[in-house]
Amino acid sequence: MKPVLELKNLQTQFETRSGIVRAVDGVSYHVNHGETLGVVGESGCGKSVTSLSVLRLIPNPPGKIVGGSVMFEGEDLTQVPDHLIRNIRGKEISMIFQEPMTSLNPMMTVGNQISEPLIRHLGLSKKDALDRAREMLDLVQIPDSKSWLSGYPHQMSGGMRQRVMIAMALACDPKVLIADEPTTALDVTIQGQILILIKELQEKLGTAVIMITHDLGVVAEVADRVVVMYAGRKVEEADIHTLFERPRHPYTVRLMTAIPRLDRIAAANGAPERLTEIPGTVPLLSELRSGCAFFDRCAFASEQCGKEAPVLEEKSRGHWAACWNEAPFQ
Amino acid sequence: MTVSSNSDAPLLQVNELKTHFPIRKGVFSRIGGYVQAVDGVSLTINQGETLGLVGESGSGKSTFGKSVMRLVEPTSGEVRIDGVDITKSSRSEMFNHRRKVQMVFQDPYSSLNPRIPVGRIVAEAIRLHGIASGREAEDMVVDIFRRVGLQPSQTRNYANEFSGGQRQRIGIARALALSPKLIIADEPVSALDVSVQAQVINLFSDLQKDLGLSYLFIAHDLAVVAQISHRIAVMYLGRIVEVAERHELFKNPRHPYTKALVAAIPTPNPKIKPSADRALKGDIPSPSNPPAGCRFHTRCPLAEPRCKQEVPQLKISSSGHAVACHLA
Ligand SMILES: Nc1ncnc2c1ncn2[C@@H]1O[C@H](COP(=O)(O)OP(=O)(O)OP(=O)(O)O)[C@@H](O)[C@H]1O
Ligand SMILES: Nc1ncnc2c1ncn2[C@@H]1O[C@H](COP(=O)(O)OP(=O)(O)OP(=O)(O)O)[C@@H](O)[C@H]1O
Ligand code: SF4
Ligand SMILES: [Mg+2]
Ligand SMILES: [Mg+2]
Repeated sequence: MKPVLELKNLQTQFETRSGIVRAVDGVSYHVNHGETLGVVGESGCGKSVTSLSVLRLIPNPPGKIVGGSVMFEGEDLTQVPDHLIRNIRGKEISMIFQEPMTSLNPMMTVGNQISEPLIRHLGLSKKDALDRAREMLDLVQIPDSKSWLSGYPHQMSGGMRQRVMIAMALACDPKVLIADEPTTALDVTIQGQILILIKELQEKLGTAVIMITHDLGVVAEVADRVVVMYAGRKVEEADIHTLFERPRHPYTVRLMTAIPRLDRIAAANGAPERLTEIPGTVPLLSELRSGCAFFDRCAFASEQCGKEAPVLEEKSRGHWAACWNEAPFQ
Repeated sequence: MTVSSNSDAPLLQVNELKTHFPIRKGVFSRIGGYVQAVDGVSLTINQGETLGLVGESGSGKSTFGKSVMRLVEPTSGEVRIDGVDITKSSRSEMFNHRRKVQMVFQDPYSSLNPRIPVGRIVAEAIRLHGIASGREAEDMVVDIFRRVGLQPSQTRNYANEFSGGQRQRIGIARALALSPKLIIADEPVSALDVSVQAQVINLFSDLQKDLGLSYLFIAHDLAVVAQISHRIAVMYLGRIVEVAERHELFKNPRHPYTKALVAAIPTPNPKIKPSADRALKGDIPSPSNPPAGCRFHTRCPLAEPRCKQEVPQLKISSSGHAVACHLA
């Protein structure tokens, strides 16, 4: 299958007082039609900057895409002129951000915000756009959609605003939807509603979804394939079942046992098993390093790991990992 | 009514606690109503026990924790520590109380003074309470730092030089400095990375084993709460809807809200696909205008006409499992 969107060796850097931050340090991934790709990793590992780079939403200065490509419908988005990327944003590729208020305009009614891209990208009349906006609000289950068209975002609850963002993101039937932690700020009972909604819309429209999250539970639920990032790089990639059954990168392996597991706690009779700790913290992305970024936290490290950065290898069909060791775990 | 497990007199006993905040309106700041943040909560915590408190955003968890510390003034009800009702305590009695009960916050950074070395932050708490001074206080600080997994040399560093997980250790060190009996931990790992969360959760468990501490562990993440708590209380819009032993709560949740909450947690196992009907419909009502009758009735899949009128009381079974639902 031909990917809808493909990132090849993407590199994005920030110039800061403490040096150059290699936020995205040669990341490649792709997503197919109708597929959900999960992207997981610790805070600061470059998940958001990668996806913002796709739509060239990186503030410059201090940020800059310094290498690689983003292929979409035969064009490299890192190279196309500004007016073209503006036409792609929100129409062909759209985003849901973690904090809805940063991308909703507090001065504009909900109806006008959803209609605006419809008028701009699809050339709908004001009236048709508002009709479509109302349909979208119904689709994301905002009760009383007609009166909310003239309401303002601050009058809504967090979950409702998040759904308005989804409505906006999907209004132009995008080919790719990038959802950056769309449910992190929400309560679990609301999170459930939103995830189901995205899944249903995807099935209906065939949208390719990139779901960025740090929650392995959310990934297990929605993703078909997963990319694990660590310190600006992809360290592992596999289909969802393989990743959970046989993780190959030591970071992924540790991550799986570091989280409290409600299913296991509920099934066990005594006290819950002690969590596995990953010692230390993530390295600074402004520091130059020669070896593997996980080296000083890794229980399986060998001498080579401290000297040479591991290359991404296909360990089995479709299962990639960047680790020098033939992971003796599991 | 009090919900407790069967052992000696509880360390903390809260009876019918209410904390309401006035909503002020207009130029003359007239009081236009009240946010019933905590509205009649009764709970107990025993020596050496962890009580987990879960609930949606805005359900009143933090307000409950702060009311027990009297960082906010309760509107009515009792908070008994070792039998003494501190809602009626004088300033000097409160000083004593604060030694017994300490709080650890969600955001360790904003609660640490950035201009003082972290060792001195802890030492000052010790001196202020007259526990020790001079050299002796410094030795205590080093001991406490070791206990929470920090190096003695790190006492000289400033808060901004630490990672999130380390800052949370400092927050815990400061709380431990007064040798409290109870620590109220309000979302202590929510701001941390998953890989660092495990370090801090394990630290809480180890300290409890070594020092016999009690915890009120507040979090919205049920899996985290399950990992550390002996008993779990579920809060909804200012009220407790269910309290039970950890296993009992997961094996046999009885309140419709608890059931939905347990079902909504995504399992990190791709073989388990959630049922499509697990999500609750509707949004969380406002605590300044809570629904009449059962506060959950607007979202409850089982609600009957009487749920809209009669407030369900928290009823406790012989096994210590308490539920507030007409149908449970
Ligand atoms: N405007 C900026 N200036 C300097 N550095 C930046 C800027 N934006 C991001 N960074 C750095 O880039 C790195 C990657 O950040 P990014 O936001 O992509 O992380 P993330 O994986 O999305 O984390 P989170 O899970 O916390 O959202 C971080 O180290 C961050 O400090
Ligand atoms: N000082 C205050 N003045 C007025 N209202 C307040 C005050 N503190 C809290 N509230 C309100 O009381 C209710 C309960 O808030 P609280 O912070 O206790 O909830 P919570 O359960 O801790 O939520 P979260 O999970 O988001 O931390 C909310 O509606 C909140 O807006
Ligand atoms: S009392 Fe009624 S509305 Fe409330 S939880 Fe029980 S069944 Fe649902
Ligand atoms: Mg991010
Ligand atoms: Mg809170």
